[in-house]
Amino acid sequence: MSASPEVRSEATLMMGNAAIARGALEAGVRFASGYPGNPSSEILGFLSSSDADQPYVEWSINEPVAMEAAAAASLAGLRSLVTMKHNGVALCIDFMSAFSITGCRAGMVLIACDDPGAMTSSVELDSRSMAVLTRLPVLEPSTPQEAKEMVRQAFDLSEEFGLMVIVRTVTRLCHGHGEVVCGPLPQTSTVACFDISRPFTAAPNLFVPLTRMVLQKLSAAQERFEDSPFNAYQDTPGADVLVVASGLGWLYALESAAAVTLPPVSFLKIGTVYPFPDRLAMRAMRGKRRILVFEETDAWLEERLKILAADLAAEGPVPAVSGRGRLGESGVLERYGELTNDTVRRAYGQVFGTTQTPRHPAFITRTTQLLEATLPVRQLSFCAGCSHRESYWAIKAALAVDGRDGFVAGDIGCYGLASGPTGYNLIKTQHCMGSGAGFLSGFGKMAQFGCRQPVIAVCGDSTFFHSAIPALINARINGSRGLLVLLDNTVTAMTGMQPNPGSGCYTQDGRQPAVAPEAITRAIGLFTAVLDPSQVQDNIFTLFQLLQEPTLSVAIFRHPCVIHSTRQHGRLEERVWVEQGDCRGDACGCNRFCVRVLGCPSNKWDATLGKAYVDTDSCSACGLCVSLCPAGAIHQAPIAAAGGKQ
Amino acid sequence: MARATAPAAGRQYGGTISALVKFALESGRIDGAVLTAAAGLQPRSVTARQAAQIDGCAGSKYTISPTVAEFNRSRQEIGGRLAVVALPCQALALNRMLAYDPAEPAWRVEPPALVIGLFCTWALDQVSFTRMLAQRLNGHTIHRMDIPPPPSSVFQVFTDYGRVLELPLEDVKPHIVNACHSCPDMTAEASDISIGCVENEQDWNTLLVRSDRGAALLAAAAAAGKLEIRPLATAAETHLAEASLAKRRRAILPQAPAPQQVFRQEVS
Repeated sequence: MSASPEVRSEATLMMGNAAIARGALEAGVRFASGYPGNPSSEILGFLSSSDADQPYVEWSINEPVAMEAAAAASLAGLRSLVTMKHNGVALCIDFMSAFSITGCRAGMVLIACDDPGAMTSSVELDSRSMAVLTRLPVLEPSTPQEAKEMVRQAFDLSEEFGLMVIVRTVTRLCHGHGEVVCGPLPQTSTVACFDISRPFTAAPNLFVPLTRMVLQKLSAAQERFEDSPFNAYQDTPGADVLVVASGLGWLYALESAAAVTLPPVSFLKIGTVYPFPDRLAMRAMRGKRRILVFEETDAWLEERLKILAADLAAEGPVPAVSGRGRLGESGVLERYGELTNDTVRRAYGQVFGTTQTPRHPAFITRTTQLLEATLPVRQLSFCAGCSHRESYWAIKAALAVDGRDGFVAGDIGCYGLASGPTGYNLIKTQHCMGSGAGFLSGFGKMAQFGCRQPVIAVCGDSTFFHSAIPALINARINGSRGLLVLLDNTVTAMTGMQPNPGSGCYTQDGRQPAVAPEAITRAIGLFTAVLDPSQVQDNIFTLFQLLQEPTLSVAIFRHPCVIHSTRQHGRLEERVWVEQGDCRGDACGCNRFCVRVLGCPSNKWDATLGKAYVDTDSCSACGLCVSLCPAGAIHQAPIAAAGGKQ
Repeated sequence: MARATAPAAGRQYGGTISALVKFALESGRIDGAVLTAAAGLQPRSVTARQAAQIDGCAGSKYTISPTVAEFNRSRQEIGGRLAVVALPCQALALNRMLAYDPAEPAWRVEPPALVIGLFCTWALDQVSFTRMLAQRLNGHTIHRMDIPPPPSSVFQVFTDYGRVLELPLEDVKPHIVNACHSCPDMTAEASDISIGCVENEQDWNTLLVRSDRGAALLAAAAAAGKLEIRPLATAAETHLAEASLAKRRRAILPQAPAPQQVFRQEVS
């Protein structure tokens, strides 16, 4: 026996997004851009914090610009990476379809991060479908290790095919941790230069020849993928069922198969999703009675396999393909949402005719007890001290004083929580980044059709730059009436405090000057009021006045995000407390205003005493509850003066 | 407080963890222990099956290793009753295994036989920290690492030939794993016994016994003469509680600057 334990793995522990960044570094990436959005947000952070030869890294103003900037680096001869979530990929489809026609030069990789189940998104989209639509190759990893390898090799494949390659990942892979064995980091010294003798233009007269070239490139990619190590076929003798899986579906397929007793099954793992390795799949499908597909989230592999199954009809019986199913029919899996071990086991049960309970009753009881014991039921809420709570209070009050059933058109971001109780249920339309401003443009024209209701659109500072400006110009140039409220917390808060043009950007030499939103709105020709959210009563009056104007105007509520500000500058040296003698409890008649209506996580109710109190650990001393308590029972003072007041 | 009566070479502070794991192995309470071994610059998660293999794993590593993955690998490939020496986050993950479905195969259901939790304020990213360290060590081998109590503000790396490389903590902190900034658990609350150190007591460890099996193991090790035990001073206990609460507060509303966010970097 050795004096030292055996080292059986040379791996380190790495988050999926860190593994993706590592793969790019090992490939010698020189330029990286993106727009933040979960689950993709950490990738650029890992790239920029690497002490390897750092690539140039930027948060771009939106996803299409990020992709075009990275494409420029590729055309100048530098390997480039662009990251975004699925919503951003959808925005890029126009550019991607043209970029596939012109092709790229140095290797370029898009990391498309999907969010099955829409855990941190308003919708779930399958980037694979968008890649097929725009004729770009797609790889899909199953583990952090494979993610690192795929990203590294995707740069080589991109240069081999002359096409941007997409590596598609999902939330659980991006944010999960796993073992990763790192490879060496290359020395890169390519000098950027655009070859003016080789244009990259997608013009109408070139559409046919360039499209033929794209299809040739995809054929070459398909041939390459037929024997790619990212695919694996495990043929089990006597098996008449084939399980085909990609991404995390592969892990669920294996894990669930190990947990239940199955008859012999063959497995086909697909890592090269598009172009699909048809010959490999047909070889695996021959002689099978049934094919079961595990993929997230659309039935893309499933539909491809059904086409191939039809091709096999000439050779004998056609295998039945099961998975997410067709619209209008029930598949063995739902047509939306994440795969889980439970759903995969149920699918196995349906295919193999078993009716066993997928989970042991004792397990269900125990996990239910644990959840009830450890997880309190909480509403989605603005953070303690978030200035949006003050801003929305002013909006709510102004609309109430106006009295014409006005409403708020919103979009997504922290402030989008105002569609719920934390923002007094004010937001009545909510779709995507910038949609509130677009709705303002349209609702603002409804007066000529007899509509008397005023409309307020809200958007955040990052969203303003991302996509609200064109809508605002449209509203201005078409004479729409209404009010845009820009909730400016000086940072892209919801996705992890990334800087945006309004907050300025950090460089090695310091900070680039910020772009002031009010300079833009005033240049558009709109009256713009810049307001301090903490001046609630003044702001109610200002908003009310603006709502009476038959024009379009802008109010900017500006206050730094409390979380970001605290990280940067420390906590405010002030304390807020409820003077217990002044709080009248349920006898007040306010119906627990501070706890129930304001909904700040720091305003608490002591059920024993029947009075309100302030949780000083989480309170950031914004003072809103101090100004609104009808009994004047909540006080604020510098910590030194407040002493031990709780 | 506790310390080993026969401290292992390379031990840090009281050597209590090595002594406890060795005793558990030798007394047949466990069949193996998942530990972190110093393997060059990069610590590795390993499974020790013999008491003689434990000494090589002594000492703080300050980086996070794939310990849970090693536990799963050992449980599946070899089996038996396994102890795990774990950081608070790893202890929490291992604790979740207590809720595993009994319908699962045995190798997936069996939770650890013992979890010894480590006090942890934060952990460092293995890849980036190791790379930074390698650049400063000029090929020397690491003997052990330590962070002396405040106000020293340095990270000490003891190398071969008795050399000590002192890195300003400010150089080390950028390598802290980002998730550590929102972790509320300093004392590995999901473990059987939590072990750390206490200021001004360089030869002792602080212990928090959290389960019956943890208490039984500690009592047996003391009765067998493997550990010397004495009560923790009230002032030290208060200080520990304050430090633990401070980490919880930081997790709720971070007060320290977060790692540098992005950046438009000019190419140099």
